[in-house]
This record gives sequence, structure tokens and C-alpha cells, in this order.
Amino acid sequence: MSKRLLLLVIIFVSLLSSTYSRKNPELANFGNRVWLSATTPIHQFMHYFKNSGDSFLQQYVFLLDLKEKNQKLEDRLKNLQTDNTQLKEIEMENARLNTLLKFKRRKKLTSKIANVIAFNTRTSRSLMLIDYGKKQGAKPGQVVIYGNQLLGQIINSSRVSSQVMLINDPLSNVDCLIQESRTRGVASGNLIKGLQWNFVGQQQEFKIGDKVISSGLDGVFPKGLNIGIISHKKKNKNSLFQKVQIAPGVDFFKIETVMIIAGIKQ
Amino acid sequence: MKSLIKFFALSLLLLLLEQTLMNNIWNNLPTLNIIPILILFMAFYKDSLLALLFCCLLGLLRDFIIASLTGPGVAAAAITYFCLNSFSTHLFIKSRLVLFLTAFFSCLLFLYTESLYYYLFLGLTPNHWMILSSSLFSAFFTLLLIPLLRKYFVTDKKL
Repeated sequence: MSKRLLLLVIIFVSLLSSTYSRKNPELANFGNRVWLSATTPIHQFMHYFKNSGDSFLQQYVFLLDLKEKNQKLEDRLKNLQTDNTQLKEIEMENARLNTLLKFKRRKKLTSKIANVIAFNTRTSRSLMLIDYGKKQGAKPGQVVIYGNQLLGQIINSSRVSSQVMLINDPLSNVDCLIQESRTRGVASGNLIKGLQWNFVGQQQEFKIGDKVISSGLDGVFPKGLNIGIISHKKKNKNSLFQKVQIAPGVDFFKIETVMIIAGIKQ
Repeated sequence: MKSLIKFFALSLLLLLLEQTLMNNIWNNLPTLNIIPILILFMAFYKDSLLALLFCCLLGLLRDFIIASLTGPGVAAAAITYFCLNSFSTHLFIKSRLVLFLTAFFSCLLFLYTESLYYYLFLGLTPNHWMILSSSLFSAFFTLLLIPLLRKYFVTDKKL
């Protein structure tokens, strides 16, 4: 078989398999699960290594100059700083968990807490890896939030980890509305540009800085979750709809702990 | 065949490093694409049907990592291999500048072919800035990989 013929066969097969996997994502999901199972321990190790490295830098390397000047003062300072860092960490963790609990109490949700272990920001996707897998009850479609901020939904799970499709992923669509004017639309992910708000008519009036929340009409995300704020809008006479961009309410890369909505209490 | 398995193991290792180490360190910077680089070296040093199938396997791995469609990575890998292999006799790959430019254009070709599939099947428009920056970054990284990959290919002639 010549190389040219084989190339044509491969292109034909790839078109067929793309058409098939568009409707039935099981094959891609199976492969992804295997990949997740293989890479999760490395991600966890990297996460641990990164954190240990940070604390090593904070607690030892940056204090070397002081040690040379005054040993006693440095020792005392080192102890105090160690305590202080630990307390700050506890305080920050407390604040994070408090934010999550407040939302949970208000909405009467059954939920689980998970840690973020990695991000996968490929050229075409925006995904987050969390240490919450099938063992803990993870299922595709479960909603992931931080406080009142919507982060995305679980798309695939291995035994101990899950992949979360963030709301700025190009494949993510959230039915949403402006909190004040109740103008409705669909927010689609646009990677580094945040989210793009589609299907907003030219006659709809709103301003930059308006808060956007989930409408709950898509049947996936609960109503009232924060999505972000209007960051840019442009009217075009030749188009049916306005061009609107939404800036997400949080920087996804700074999130360490997330909450997974497992269900709503009856 | 034995050397192909060896190269597959090396590719897996590099891919694991790219996915875990590189992407953990540089969250906000352009992403590295190791697969087009591996295809580049395959296209220039291994001219066989088996090499083409091996490139498709790498593309399939990328599809599994991205987890949306099964096919874009395979097609992109096959087309990139075929184009590079066709030009392999006309380019002096031992020059660093030529290698850099070839790596840049092979990444562009790979990512745009993949984007074409995503556009056709999911309606996603390609992010030109990310593709360009990622290709440039990968091309720079290729220069770092020269000693490892070229040595492997030059000493191994049995594939």
C-alpha cells in the first residue's frame, strides 16, 4: 500500500470516527479515563512537590540573610513566621470552607469538597483536575462551584480523580441572565477571553459591569450561580445579535478547593 | 519493531512530562505541543508506512487527552507526517534555523488541521493567538530536544 493511499484511508476513517464520537463520546471518554488513571498519581505528586517547594522557599531560603545577621533573632523570627504561615493557611482554608458552607446552607444542597490538583489548558480546552473520583461518588454532569461562583461540570472520572470542564471551555454552554434586567442569553466558553454571550438581541439594554448569573433553564446548572460580569459589548447593525463578553468572577488558576453539588436535599 | 517500541516509550515519557510537569509549571504561558515535534523527527528520519501509523497512534493519544472527539489528532498527525516527509529531501534539517522554522510550521499545520476538524464537527473557531504562540514556544523547545532525539534517530537505523 502506498503512503498516499494510506493517508487517504486515515483521513476517511478519522472523519467517520469524528462523526461517531460527536454523538457517542464513550470512546474518547474511555481513552481519557485510562490517561487520567495513569497521570493522576503524577499530578498528585507534582501538587505535593509544588506545595512543599513553596513552603521550603518561604520557611528557609528567604530567611538566610537574617540568619547571618542575628542568629537568635532569626530563630525567633523563623518560629514566628512558621506559626504565622500556618495560621494564615488555616485562616484562608477556614475562609474558603466558610464560603462553601454558606452557599451549601442557603441552597440546601448535598455536596462534597475536593482539592484542585492540576489544570489542563490545552490549545483547544480549559479543564481542571480534582481529587474526587468514582470512589467518592463522582458522576459526569455534576456541577462544580466555588462559593457562589459557577466553575463548570464534571465530564469524566477515574477512580480517584475527575476532569472538570470549566465555563470558559469552548465546549461549555450555560444558559444565563443579567441579575438586574433579567435579559437572557447563552454564555459559551472562549478560553482566555472568558465567556462569549450569544443570542442577545440588538434591542436588549444593559451596561458593562452588570452581574451575570445562571438561569437554571439549561437543566444542568442550578439557578442563581454567579458567572461573571459584562466586560465588553458591541452592537453591529448588520447582525441580529450583540457581541458581548463576560469576564468570569474568579481567576480559575487561583482556586485550590472546590465544592461539587451531588444533589439537592428534599 | 523493537526500536519502534523504544521510541514509543520515549514519546510516552515526553508526553507525560508535557502534560504533568510543563503544564503545571506554566499555567498561563503558551502550551507546549510535543506531538508535532515527535512527528517532525519521524518524518525526517523514518520513511515507512509503520512510521505513519505510529504518528497516528500519537494523534490518537492526543485525542484521548483532549477528550472531545476521536479523529482530529489522528488526521492532523497523518497529514503533518505526510507533508513533512514529502519535503524531507529538500530541507537541510541539521541547520538549527531550518529545524526551528520547520518545527514552527509543522506545529501550525498540526494545530490548524486539528482546528479544522473541531470547526467542522463542533463549530469551534480556532484561537489564532494561542496556536501561533504555542507553535513558537514548541519550536524553541525543539531546539532543546535536538541532542536527545537526533542522537536517537541517527544511531538507530533499524526501524
